[in-house]
Amino acid sequence: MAKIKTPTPAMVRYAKKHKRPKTYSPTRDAVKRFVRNRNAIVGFIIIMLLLVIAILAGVIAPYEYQAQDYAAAFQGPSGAHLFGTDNYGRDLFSRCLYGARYTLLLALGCVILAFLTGGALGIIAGYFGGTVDTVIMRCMDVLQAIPQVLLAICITSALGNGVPQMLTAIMFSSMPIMSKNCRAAILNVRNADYVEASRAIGVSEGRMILKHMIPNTVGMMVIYVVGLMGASINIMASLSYLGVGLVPPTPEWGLILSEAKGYFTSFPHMVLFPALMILITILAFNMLGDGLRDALDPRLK
Amino acid sequence: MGTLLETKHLKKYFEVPQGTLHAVDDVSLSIEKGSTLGVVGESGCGKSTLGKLIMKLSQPTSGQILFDGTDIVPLTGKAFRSHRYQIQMIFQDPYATLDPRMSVGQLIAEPLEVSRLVQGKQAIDQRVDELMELVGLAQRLKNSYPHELDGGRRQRIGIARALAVNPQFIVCDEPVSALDVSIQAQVLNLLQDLQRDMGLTYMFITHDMSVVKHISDQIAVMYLGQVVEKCEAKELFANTMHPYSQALLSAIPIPNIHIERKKILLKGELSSPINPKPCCRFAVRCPYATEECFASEPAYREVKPGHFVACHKVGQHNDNNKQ
Amino acid sequence: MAEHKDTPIVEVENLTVHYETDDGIVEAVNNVSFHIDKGEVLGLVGETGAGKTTIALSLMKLLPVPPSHVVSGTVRLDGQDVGVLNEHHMRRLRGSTVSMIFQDPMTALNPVKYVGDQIAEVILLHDKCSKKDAMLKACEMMKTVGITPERYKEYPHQFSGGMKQRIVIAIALACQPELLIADEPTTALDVTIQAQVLEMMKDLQRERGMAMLMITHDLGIVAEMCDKCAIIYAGEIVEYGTLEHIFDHPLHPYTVGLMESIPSLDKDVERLKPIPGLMIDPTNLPQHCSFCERCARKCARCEQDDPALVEVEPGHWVKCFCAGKEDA
Repeated sequence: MAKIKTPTPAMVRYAKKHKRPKTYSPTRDAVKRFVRNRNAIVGFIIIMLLLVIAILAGVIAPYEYQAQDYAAAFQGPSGAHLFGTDNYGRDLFSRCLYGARYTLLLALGCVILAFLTGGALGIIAGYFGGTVDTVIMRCMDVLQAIPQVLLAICITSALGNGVPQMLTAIMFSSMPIMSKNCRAAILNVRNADYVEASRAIGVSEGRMILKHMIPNTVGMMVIYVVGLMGASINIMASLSYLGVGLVPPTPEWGLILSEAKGYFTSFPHMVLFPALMILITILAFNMLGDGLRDALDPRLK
Repeated sequence: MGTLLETKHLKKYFEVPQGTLHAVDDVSLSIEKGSTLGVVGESGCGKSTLGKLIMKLSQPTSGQILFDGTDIVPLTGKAFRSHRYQIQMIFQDPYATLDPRMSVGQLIAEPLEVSRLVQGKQAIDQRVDELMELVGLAQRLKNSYPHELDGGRRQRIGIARALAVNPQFIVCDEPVSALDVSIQAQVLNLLQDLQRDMGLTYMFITHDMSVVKHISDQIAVMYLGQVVEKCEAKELFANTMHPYSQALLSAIPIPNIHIERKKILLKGELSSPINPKPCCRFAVRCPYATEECFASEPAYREVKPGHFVACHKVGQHNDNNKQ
Repeated sequence: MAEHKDTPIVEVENLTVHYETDDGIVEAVNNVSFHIDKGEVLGLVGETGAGKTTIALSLMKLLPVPPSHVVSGTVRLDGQDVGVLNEHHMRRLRGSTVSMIFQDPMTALNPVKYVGDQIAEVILLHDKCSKKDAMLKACEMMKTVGITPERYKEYPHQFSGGMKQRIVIAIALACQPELLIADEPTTALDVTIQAQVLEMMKDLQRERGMAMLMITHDLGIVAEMCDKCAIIYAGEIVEYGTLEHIFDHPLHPYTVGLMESIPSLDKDVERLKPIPGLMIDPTNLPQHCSFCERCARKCARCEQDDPALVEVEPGHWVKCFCAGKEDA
């Protein structure tokens, strides 16, 4: 039997020269990989900045987002109005800052709803399999077959514009993707050899879920959730732009864009700045999502 | 020394699109307490399924598994729990069978926590230390994670997990085939030491003839779901009777340049046992097959004390095949 | 086979290959030199991570750059320095002068093309012939590897593992290469199938007088297939010689350890004698002999200097200070 030998002087010298790297848990490894990934860090910093902006919008913004000043309407960017003003003379800079708060909060709401519904259904389908799986997944297929925008228009025309209606619309449209991803993640773990090995030493189902399945799927779930954040902002902007999302004067970026669309040729700044905000935010979420994927699941690279 | 484990007419069929797959078909084996039964065969011969049936990771289609005289097949729930810890398993792939998010210490503690054989944090911790020492894992690795270790050490974790609940019987499913030769030898020695010190009984599943010869007391050769030959390890190598066993033995490259052997090259490929016809399953590839072999299934019979063979032609083809 | 000894088909001199990874520099191949004469079969034996596949890939100039990086050394194929050849020339050499077969036949074939067409494609690439001729030649090749040409229009998934490996071999040999590199060609196969494939490879090698580099971890395969053998450990050749040298009086302690680690079929051994310790970490190679940590015969000098590969008897090279000296 391999007993621990007393080290020879050469072994000690060798060990001193080449210190064994400290042990790292997979999570710490992932953090290390993430920090090394420049794109991911840039995305992460942008999102952190946006969060700060969203929280401190009331402090940073020079004007109230709904304050109208007809005398100052249609001004280009200047010292007084960094992003210029719109047709009501509202300060676009302030509106964009407040927009971060609304947009991020609403997107988060969408994602949480999608995860609680679609994600949960996917996990149930993946875990139980069989008929449960078939029924749930076929329902999701049906849902996926309805175009997102059409679904949103149906909901708003039935229930009117507003936050809850939009959240519902986005929730329904994200559910299929979320459930499919979560189902795949659970199936992946459920069929893993270490789950069978644990079953062989008599691990109960409850413990299996808590100790093996959840820890091994959290990474994947985080990746999906972050990816869905970007997608939700995207859908939200589209819906608002089409007039089936929120109601003015909510400073949501898509809505700001929508209100400005009539003045695009004469006052391009009115479109440019909110569009840039949407673009940067979605880009940041995508960069973060890709970075997380690389860090948490290096095999997928 | 009595019989510890016995399977009686054990069958496991799977329904596949092409028909019924006879993964394990009427396997009757018995294993003496404290001995090692080697089960050899090529991929798809049902040897891993047999291991899983004995572990109750999968329910047999029919047949009995007698452990210490009790049939464990119908046992469920509480009644089964007491038996669960008597039979443990060491898995083939030490990379996939350890949860990557658990440290070595947690992995080895898991069976102790689950079985409640050891209670209390301190007691568990102490037992984990003992087990690590037993399988030759250095204490400093306790907080390491499997991905930081090589295959040999990971397999030691797997062995420690199996031993944690003080089993009497261990199913070793290709425990060394994923390892390099120098590490393989370390693990084989460890398994032999543990058997000697703790009186363990092994069922050793492998495709490697030289490993099985080294570790087994008895050997069963499987082909397409059936046992075709079973006898003492020495007897199998000295007096190979079934033509498949002969071919299997002769096919192994031996690292010795002075042994000239006549190779028996088999025709054709392994098929899978889907809807097998009532004839000898080896007949299509067998160099000695006659009409009789295609007409009826050979009985699994004792041709010499302790030597079981399933072949119509036993005794007729042996003489012209000696080197 | 070694009579017509003009230029060797492969000459490798002082080859050193590193991989640059996040965790440091992996010294995969360190100062390796060897040659293969025309018609000769060299076995390259080592364990996981010893650098076998890296050597093979550098012969084909197929190493992924980055992360790999040829630090020094030259590889000459049939007298031509591979290092200075451009990709266009290399592509012409691959297939016609040197071919390679990989361990896993499942991933080496295109799943949506007829197997026959996959053979014909290689022939078309290298020989100037019509499509019809190429197809005829492909049928010929299928016969050579023991598959009826009637299966020309079948897809890889219709073949079993052993049959797929035969197709892979047919593709590799379609253009009559002078050197075949076989990287663990039978590891994924069952023993009885392995025996069939090895037998076929041996016959083809003899028939065509082709040189072969047989990469394996199985000393049994070496004993059956090869003329000469090189044992590698931590990216270095530690012992090189004819089969008689390696199998009858191995001198390097690692070679001896390998032999003693294998459970024997022809002798009864109660207990194996494994090599203690683990494979050395290739990101962290010592200045002294890299095997000395696991060596049973080490002396003070082994922990100071790195021994050179020296010829201890004609044709038998060993990289050890203590080799040839009497055992204690």
